[in-house]
Amino acid sequence: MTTTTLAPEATAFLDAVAAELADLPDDVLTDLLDDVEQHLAEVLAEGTLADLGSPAEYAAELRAAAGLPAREAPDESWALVRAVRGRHARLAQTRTYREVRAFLPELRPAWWVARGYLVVVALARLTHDSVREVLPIPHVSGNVLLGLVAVAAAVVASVKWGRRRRAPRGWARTGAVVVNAFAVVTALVVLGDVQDRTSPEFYYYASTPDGLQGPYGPVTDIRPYDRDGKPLHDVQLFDQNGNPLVYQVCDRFCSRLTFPLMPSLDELVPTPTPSPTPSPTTTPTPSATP
Amino acid sequence: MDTSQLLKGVLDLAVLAVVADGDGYGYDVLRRLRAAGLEDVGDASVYGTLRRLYQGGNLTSYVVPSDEGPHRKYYAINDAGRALLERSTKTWTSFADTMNAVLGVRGGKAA
Repeated sequence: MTTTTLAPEATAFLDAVAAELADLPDDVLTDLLDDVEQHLAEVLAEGTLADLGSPAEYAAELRAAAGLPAREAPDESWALVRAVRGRHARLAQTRTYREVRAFLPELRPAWWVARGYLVVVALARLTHDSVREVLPIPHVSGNVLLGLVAVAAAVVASVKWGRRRRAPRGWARTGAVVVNAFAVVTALVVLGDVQDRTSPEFYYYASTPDGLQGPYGPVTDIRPYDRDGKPLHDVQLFDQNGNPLVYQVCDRFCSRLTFPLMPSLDELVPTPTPSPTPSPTTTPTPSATP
Repeated sequence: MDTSQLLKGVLDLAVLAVVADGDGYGYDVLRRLRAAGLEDVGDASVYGTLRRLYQGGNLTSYVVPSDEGPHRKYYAINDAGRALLERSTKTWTSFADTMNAVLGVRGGKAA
Protein backbone atom coordinates (compact mmCIF):
# COMPACT_ATOMS: atom_id res chain seq x y z
CA MET A 1 0.00 0.00 0.00
CA THR A 2 1.42 3.41 -0.82
CA THR A 3 1.16 6.34 1.46
CA THR A 4 0.75 8.90 -1.27
CA THR A 5 -3.01 8.75 -1.31
CA LEU A 6 -3.33 9.93 2.26
CA ALA A 7 -4.32 13.51 2.98
CA PRO A 8 -1.75 15.61 4.81
CA GLU A 9 -3.70 15.84 8.05
CA ALA A 10 -4.04 12.11 8.09
CA THR A 11 -0.33 11.71 7.43
CA ALA A 12 0.41 13.96 10.37
CA PHE A 13 -1.92 11.94 12.55
CA LEU A 14 -0.38 8.73 11.38
CA ASP A 15 3.13 9.97 12.04
CA ALA A 16 2.14 11.00 15.55
CA VAL A 17 0.60 7.60 16.22
CA ALA A 18 3.71 5.96 14.82
CA ALA A 19 5.88 7.94 17.18
CA GLU A 20 3.74 6.87 20.12
CA LEU A 21 4.05 3.25 19.14
CA ALA A 22 7.70 3.40 18.19
CA ASP A 23 8.79 1.17 21.05
CA LEU A 24 7.09 -1.80 19.46
CA PRO A 25 8.95 -4.26 17.24
CA ASP A 26 9.14 -3.28 13.59
CA ASP A 27 6.85 -5.91 12.15
CA VAL A 28 4.12 -5.31 14.70
CA LEU A 29 4.44 -1.60 14.15
CA THR A 30 4.17 -1.85 10.39
CA ASP A 31 1.09 -4.03 10.69
CA LEU A 32 -0.61 -1.67 13.07
CA LEU A 33 0.23 1.36 10.98
CA ASP A 34 -1.18 -0.32 7.90
CA ASP A 35 -4.48 -0.72 9.72
CA VAL A 36 -4.41 2.80 11.08
CA GLU A 37 -3.74 4.21 7.65
CA GLN A 38 -6.71 2.37 6.22
CA HIS A 39 -8.86 3.54 9.07
CA LEU A 40 -7.83 7.15 8.65
CA ALA A 41 -8.58 7.02 4.97
CA GLU A 42 -12.07 5.68 5.65
CA VAL A 43 -12.77 8.21 8.37
CA LEU A 44 -11.66 11.04 6.13
CA ALA A 45 -13.85 9.74 3.33
CA GLU A 46 -16.88 10.21 5.52
CA GLY A 47 -15.98 13.14 7.70
CA THR A 48 -13.13 14.56 9.68
CA LEU A 49 -10.49 13.18 12.00
CA ALA A 50 -11.77 15.30 14.84
CA ASP A 51 -13.74 12.52 16.44
CA LEU A 52 -10.75 10.29 16.74
CA GLY A 53 -9.27 12.26 19.58
CA SER A 54 -5.59 12.98 19.82
CA PRO A 55 -3.04 10.67 18.23
CA ALA A 56 -1.75 9.84 21.66
CA GLU A 57 -5.18 8.77 22.85
CA TYR A 58 -5.74 6.80 19.69
CA ALA A 59 -2.41 5.06 20.07
CA ALA A 60 -3.08 4.26 23.71
CA GLU A 61 -6.52 2.87 22.93
CA LEU A 62 -5.19 0.79 20.08
CA ARG A 63 -2.37 -0.50 22.18
CA ALA A 64 -4.70 -1.51 25.01
CA ALA A 65 -7.28 -3.14 22.78
CA ALA A 66 -4.63 -5.02 20.85
CA GLY A 67 -3.22 -6.44 24.05
CA LEU A 68 0.20 -4.89 23.57
CA PRO A 69 2.31 -3.93 26.54
CA ALA A 70 1.88 -0.40 27.76
CA ARG A 71 4.58 2.00 26.79
CA GLU A 72 7.25 2.73 29.36
CA ALA A 73 7.09 6.27 30.68
CA PRO A 74 8.14 8.41 27.78
CA ASP A 75 11.60 9.67 28.36
CA GLU A 76 11.96 13.01 26.66
CA SER A 77 15.53 12.36 25.73
CA TRP A 78 14.34 9.51 23.56
CA ALA A 79 11.67 11.57 21.86
CA LEU A 80 13.85 12.08 18.82
CA VAL A 81 14.65 8.39 18.61
CA ARG A 82 10.99 7.51 18.80
CA ALA A 83 10.08 10.01 16.16
CA VAL A 84 12.76 8.64 13.90
CA ARG A 85 11.64 5.08 14.47
CA GLY A 86 8.07 6.10 13.78
CA ARG A 87 9.13 7.75 10.54
CA HIS A 88 11.13 4.72 9.60
CA ALA A 89 8.17 2.44 10.22
CA ARG A 90 6.04 4.59 7.94
CA LEU A 91 8.73 4.59 5.30
CA ALA A 92 8.93 0.84 5.56
CA GLN A 93 5.36 0.61 4.38
CA THR A 94 6.11 2.13 1.02
CA ARG A 95 6.44 -0.04 -2.00
CA THR A 96 9.83 1.28 -2.96
CA TYR A 97 11.26 0.37 0.41
CA ARG A 98 9.78 -3.09 0.20
CA GLU A 99 11.14 -3.64 -3.28
CA VAL A 100 14.60 -2.51 -2.28
CA ARG A 101 14.56 -4.71 0.77
CA ALA A 102 13.46 -7.66 -1.33
CA PHE A 103 16.30 -7.03 -3.74
CA LEU A 104 19.11 -6.63 -1.22
CA PRO A 105 19.63 -10.35 -0.58
CA GLU A 106 20.67 -10.67 -4.22
CA LEU A 107 23.69 -8.50 -3.50
CA ARG A 108 24.98 -10.75 -0.79
CA PRO A 109 27.31 -12.83 -2.98
CA ALA A 110 28.99 -9.61 -4.13
CA TRP A 111 29.56 -8.75 -0.50
CA TRP A 112 31.12 -12.13 0.16
CA VAL A 113 33.68 -11.56 -2.58
CA ALA A 114 34.37 -8.02 -1.41
CA ARG A 115 34.73 -9.19 2.15
CA GLY A 116 37.41 -11.73 1.31
CA TYR A 117 39.37 -9.21 -0.70
CA LEU A 118 39.09 -6.55 1.98
CA VAL A 119 40.36 -8.80 4.73
CA VAL A 120 43.59 -9.40 2.81
CA VAL A 121 43.80 -5.70 2.02
CA ALA A 122 43.47 -4.92 5.71
CA LEU A 123 46.30 -7.29 6.58
CA ALA A 124 48.45 -5.83 3.83
CA ARG A 125 47.78 -2.34 5.07
CA LEU A 126 48.89 -3.22 8.54
CA THR A 127 52.18 -4.62 7.34
CA HIS A 128 53.03 -2.39 4.42
CA ASP A 129 53.47 1.31 4.29
CA SER A 130 53.22 2.08 0.63
CA VAL A 131 49.79 2.30 -0.96
CA ARG A 132 51.15 0.54 -3.99
CA GLU A 133 51.56 -2.55 -1.90
CA VAL A 134 48.02 -2.48 -0.60
CA LEU A 135 45.89 -1.57 -3.60
CA PRO A 136 44.79 -2.79 -6.05
CA ILE A 137 46.47 -6.06 -5.20
CA PRO A 138 47.57 -6.49 -1.62
CA HIS A 139 51.07 -7.78 -1.21
CA VAL A 140 51.98 -10.44 1.27
CA SER A 141 55.49 -10.05 2.63
CA GLY A 142 56.15 -7.67 -0.21
CA ASN A 143 55.25 -10.28 -2.80
CA VAL A 144 52.45 -9.62 -5.25
CA LEU A 145 51.97 -13.24 -6.28
CA LEU A 146 51.56 -14.33 -2.71
CA GLY A 147 49.06 -11.52 -2.38
CA LEU A 148 47.03 -12.78 -5.33
CA VAL A 149 46.98 -16.24 -3.87
CA ALA A 150 45.92 -14.88 -0.51
CA VAL A 151 43.11 -12.86 -2.05
CA ALA A 152 41.86 -15.86 -4.01
CA ALA A 153 41.93 -18.05 -0.93
CA ALA A 154 40.18 -15.43 1.17
CA VAL A 155 37.46 -14.88 -1.41
CA VAL A 156 36.82 -18.60 -1.71
CA ALA A 157 36.66 -18.94 2.06
CA SER A 158 34.36 -15.97 2.38
CA VAL A 159 31.98 -17.22 -0.28
CA LYS A 160 31.90 -20.71 1.19
CA TRP A 161 31.18 -19.25 4.55
CA GLY A 162 28.44 -17.03 3.17
CA ARG A 163 26.79 -19.89 1.41
CA ARG A 164 26.28 -22.01 4.47
CA ARG A 165 22.68 -23.03 4.83
CA ARG A 166 22.24 -22.53 8.50
CA ALA A 167 22.47 -19.02 9.81
CA PRO A 168 25.23 -18.81 12.39
CA ARG A 169 24.25 -18.61 16.01
CA GLY A 170 25.93 -17.54 19.17
CA TRP A 171 29.64 -16.88 18.91
CA ALA A 172 29.71 -17.76 15.22
CA ARG A 173 27.20 -15.02 14.58
CA THR A 174 29.19 -12.54 16.65
CA GLY A 175 32.28 -13.53 14.73
CA ALA A 176 30.48 -12.96 11.44
CA VAL A 177 29.37 -9.51 12.52
CA VAL A 178 32.90 -8.64 13.63
CA VAL A 179 34.46 -9.75 10.36
CA ASN A 180 31.89 -7.86 8.31
CA ALA A 181 32.36 -4.72 10.36
CA PHE A 182 36.13 -5.09 10.07
CA ALA A 183 35.88 -5.37 6.30
CA VAL A 184 33.71 -2.28 6.05
CA VAL A 185 36.05 -0.27 8.26
CA THR A 186 39.00 -1.44 6.18
CA ALA A 187 37.30 -0.30 3.02
CA LEU A 188 36.75 3.15 4.45
CA VAL A 189 40.24 3.46 5.88
CA VAL A 190 41.98 2.31 2.72
CA LEU A 191 39.92 4.60 0.54
CA GLY A 192 40.85 7.43 2.86
CA ASP A 193 44.50 6.46 2.50
CA VAL A 194 44.36 6.55 -1.26
CA GLN A 195 42.74 9.94 -1.08
CA ASP A 196 45.52 11.22 1.14
CA ARG A 197 48.42 9.80 -0.72
CA THR A 198 47.54 10.94 -4.18
CA SER A 199 48.46 14.41 -3.09
CA PRO A 200 52.03 14.72 -1.92
CA GLU A 201 52.47 14.94 1.81
CA PHE A 202 55.03 17.60 1.57
CA TYR A 203 56.77 19.37 -1.18
CA TYR A 204 59.64 21.68 -1.58
CA TYR A 205 59.75 24.41 -3.98
CA ALA A 206 62.15 27.26 -4.16
CA SER A 207 60.85 30.49 -5.33
CA THR A 208 61.79 34.03 -4.84
CA PRO A 209 59.42 36.86 -5.45
CA ASP A 210 60.94 37.27 -8.86
CA GLY A 211 61.68 33.56 -9.43
CA LEU A 212 65.42 33.23 -9.69
CA GLN A 213 66.41 30.71 -12.26
CA GLY A 214 69.87 29.44 -12.84
CA PRO A 215 71.07 27.69 -15.98
CA TYR A 216 70.26 24.28 -14.53
CA GLY A 217 67.09 25.01 -12.68
CA PRO A 218 65.78 27.23 -9.94
CA VAL A 219 68.33 28.91 -7.77
CA THR A 220 68.19 27.42 -4.34
CA ASP A 221 71.10 29.12 -2.67
CA ILE A 222 73.42 32.01 -3.27
CA ARG A 223 76.95 32.01 -1.92
CA PRO A 224 78.60 35.37 -1.94
CA TYR A 225 82.39 35.66 -2.10
CA ASP A 226 84.65 38.64 -2.29
CA ARG A 227 86.93 39.26 -5.21
CA ASP A 228 89.68 37.20 -3.61
CA GLY A 229 87.46 34.19 -3.35
CA LYS A 230 86.92 34.46 0.35
CA PRO A 231 83.39 33.62 1.44
CA LEU A 232 81.35 36.49 2.73
CA HIS A 233 79.17 36.12 5.79
CA ASP A 234 76.17 37.98 7.11
CA VAL A 235 75.53 39.47 3.76
CA GLN A 236 72.30 41.04 2.74
CA LEU A 237 71.32 40.79 -0.86
CA PHE A 238 68.82 42.98 -2.61
CA ASP A 239 67.27 42.96 -5.99
CA GLN A 240 66.94 45.93 -8.33
CA ASN A 241 63.83 47.11 -6.50
CA GLY A 242 65.49 47.07 -3.16
CA ASN A 243 63.61 43.94 -2.05
CA PRO A 244 65.67 41.41 -0.12
CA LEU A 245 66.31 38.19 -1.97
CA VAL A 246 64.51 35.43 -0.13
CA TYR A 247 64.30 31.73 -0.37
CA GLN A 248 61.00 30.05 0.39
CA VAL A 249 60.83 26.62 1.94
CA CYS A 250 57.48 24.93 2.30
CA ASP A 251 56.89 21.97 4.55
CA ARG A 252 53.22 22.17 5.51
CA PHE A 253 53.79 25.85 5.92
CA CYS A 254 56.18 28.13 4.20
CA SER A 255 59.06 29.99 5.78
CA ARG A 256 61.20 32.57 4.11
CA LEU A 257 64.91 32.59 4.52
CA THR A 258 67.43 35.06 3.28
CA PHE A 259 70.46 34.12 1.28
CA PRO A 260 72.94 32.74 1.96
CA LEU A 261 71.14 29.87 3.55
CA MET A 262 73.89 27.77 4.95
CA PRO A 263 76.86 29.90 5.72
CA SER A 264 78.61 27.14 7.59
CA LEU A 265 78.80 25.06 4.45
CA ASP A 266 80.99 27.66 2.91
CA GLU A 267 83.84 26.35 5.00
CA LEU A 268 83.35 22.94 3.47
CA VAL A 269 83.02 24.13 -0.05
CA PRO A 270 86.47 24.46 -1.60
CA THR A 271 87.30 27.99 -2.38
CA PRO A 272 87.07 28.56 -6.07
CA THR A 273 90.23 29.32 -7.98
CA PRO A 274 90.93 32.98 -7.57
CA SER A 275 91.15 34.97 -10.78
CA PRO A 276 94.74 34.91 -11.80
CA THR A 277 96.58 38.01 -10.63
CA PRO A 278 100.10 38.38 -11.70
CA SER A 279 102.42 37.82 -8.78
CA PRO A 280 105.95 39.01 -9.12
CA THR A 281 107.31 35.99 -7.32
CA THR A 282 105.69 33.38 -9.35
CA THR A 283 105.96 34.61 -12.81
CA PRO A 284 108.31 32.24 -14.42
CA THR A 285 111.22 34.09 -15.82
CA PRO A 286 111.88 33.11 -19.27
CA SER A 287 115.17 31.47 -19.27
CA ALA A 288 117.36 32.60 -21.93
CA THR A 289 119.08 30.04 -23.79
CA PRO A 290 122.57 31.09 -24.09
CA MET B 1 -21.71 4.26 34.78
CA ASP B 2 -21.30 4.99 31.11
CA THR B 3 -21.54 2.26 28.57
CA SER B 4 -17.93 2.53 27.50
CA GLN B 5 -16.88 0.94 30.76
CA LEU B 6 -19.25 -1.93 30.30
CA LEU B 7 -18.25 -2.25 26.71
CA LYS B 8 -14.62 -2.84 27.45
CA GLY B 9 -15.40 -6.19 28.99
CA VAL B 10 -17.55 -7.45 26.19
CA LEU B 11 -16.07 -5.88 23.10
CA ASP B 12 -14.48 -9.18 22.13
CA LEU B 13 -17.85 -10.82 22.17
CA ALA B 14 -19.48 -8.05 20.18
CA VAL B 15 -16.75 -8.07 17.55
CA LEU B 16 -16.85 -11.85 17.23
CA ALA B 17 -20.58 -11.72 16.80
CA VAL B 18 -20.39 -9.09 14.08
CA VAL B 19 -17.69 -10.94 12.16
CA ALA B 20 -19.55 -14.21 12.56
CA ASP B 21 -22.45 -12.47 10.91
CA GLY B 22 -20.32 -11.68 7.90
CA ASP B 23 -16.67 -11.06 7.02
CA GLY B 24 -15.67 -7.45 7.33
CA TYR B 25 -12.78 -5.05 7.29
CA GLY B 26 -12.00 -2.83 10.26
CA TYR B 27 -14.12 0.15 9.45
CA ASP B 28 -16.97 -2.04 8.30
CA VAL B 29 -17.05 -3.91 11.62
CA LEU B 30 -16.95 -0.60 13.44
CA ARG B 31 -19.87 0.72 11.45
CA ARG B 32 -21.93 -2.37 12.07
CA LEU B 33 -21.29 -2.21 15.78
CA ARG B 34 -22.40 1.39 15.85
CA ALA B 35 -25.43 0.66 13.72
CA ALA B 36 -26.44 -2.05 16.16
CA GLY B 37 -26.56 0.57 18.89
CA LEU B 38 -23.08 0.52 20.40
CA GLU B 39 -22.37 4.15 19.67
CA ASP B 40 -19.72 4.61 22.30
CA VAL B 41 -17.34 2.05 20.93
CA GLY B 42 -13.96 3.65 20.18
CA ASP B 43 -12.45 3.29 16.72
CA ALA B 44 -9.06 2.24 17.90
CA SER B 45 -10.60 -0.24 20.32
CA VAL B 46 -12.31 -2.10 17.51
CA TYR B 47 -9.16 -2.25 15.43
CA GLY B 48 -7.13 -3.35 18.40
CA THR B 49 -9.65 -6.00 19.32
CA LEU B 50 -9.73 -7.36 15.78
CA ARG B 51 -5.97 -7.62 15.83
CA ARG B 52 -5.92 -9.32 19.21
CA LEU B 53 -8.54 -11.85 18.21
CA TYR B 54 -6.60 -12.53 15.03
CA GLN B 55 -3.37 -12.98 16.99
CA GLY B 56 -5.20 -15.30 19.35
CA GLY B 57 -6.22 -17.51 16.46
CA ASN B 58 -9.92 -16.75 16.64
CA LEU B 59 -10.10 -14.81 13.40
CA THR B 60 -8.52 -15.25 10.03
CA SER B 61 -7.72 -12.45 7.66
CA TYR B 62 -7.34 -12.00 3.96
CA VAL B 63 -6.63 -9.06 1.73
CA VAL B 64 -8.98 -7.99 -1.00
CA PRO B 65 -7.18 -5.99 -3.65
CA SER B 66 -9.01 -2.93 -4.80
CA ASP B 67 -8.53 -0.88 -7.93
CA GLU B 68 -9.83 2.43 -6.72
CA GLY B 69 -8.59 2.46 -3.18
CA PRO B 70 -6.20 0.80 -0.82
CA HIS B 71 -6.28 -2.96 -0.43
CA ARG B 72 -8.61 -3.92 2.37
CA LYS B 73 -7.80 -6.42 5.05
CA TYR B 74 -10.90 -8.50 5.77
CA TYR B 75 -11.43 -10.54 8.89
CA ALA B 76 -13.36 -13.78 9.03
CA ILE B 77 -14.26 -16.06 11.89
CA ASN B 78 -12.88 -19.56 12.09
CA ASP B 79 -13.82 -22.62 14.12
CA ALA B 80 -11.85 -21.56 17.15
CA GLY B 81 -13.53 -18.18 16.95
CA ARG B 82 -16.94 -19.71 16.69
CA ALA B 83 -16.26 -21.87 19.73
CA LEU B 84 -15.09 -18.84 21.65
CA LEU B 85 -18.17 -16.93 20.54
CA GLU B 86 -20.42 -19.68 21.84
CA ARG B 87 -18.64 -19.92 25.19
CA SER B 88 -18.58 -16.17 25.62
CA THR B 89 -22.25 -15.89 24.71
CA LYS B 90 -23.13 -18.40 27.40
CA THR B 91 -21.02 -16.55 29.91
CA TRP B 92 -22.62 -13.29 28.97
CA THR B 93 -26.13 -14.58 29.12
CA SER B 94 -25.66 -16.16 32.48
CA PHE B 95 -23.95 -13.04 33.80
CA ALA B 96 -26.72 -10.82 32.49
CA ASP B 97 -29.31 -13.08 34.06
CA THR B 98 -27.49 -12.97 37.37
CA MET B 99 -27.20 -9.20 37.24
CA ASN B 100 -30.84 -8.90 36.38
CA ALA B 101 -31.68 -11.09 39.33
CA VAL B 102 -29.51 -9.04 41.64
CA LEU B 103 -31.07 -5.84 40.44
CA GLY B 104 -34.53 -7.36 40.71
CA VAL B 105 -33.84 -8.30 44.36
CA ARG B 106 -32.88 -4.71 45.21
CA GLY B 107 -36.36 -3.68 44.25
CA GLY B 108 -38.17 -5.44 47.05
CA LYS B 109 -37.13 -8.41 49.13
CA ALA B 110 -34.80 -8.48 52.03
CA ALA B 111 -31.32 -9.95 51.35
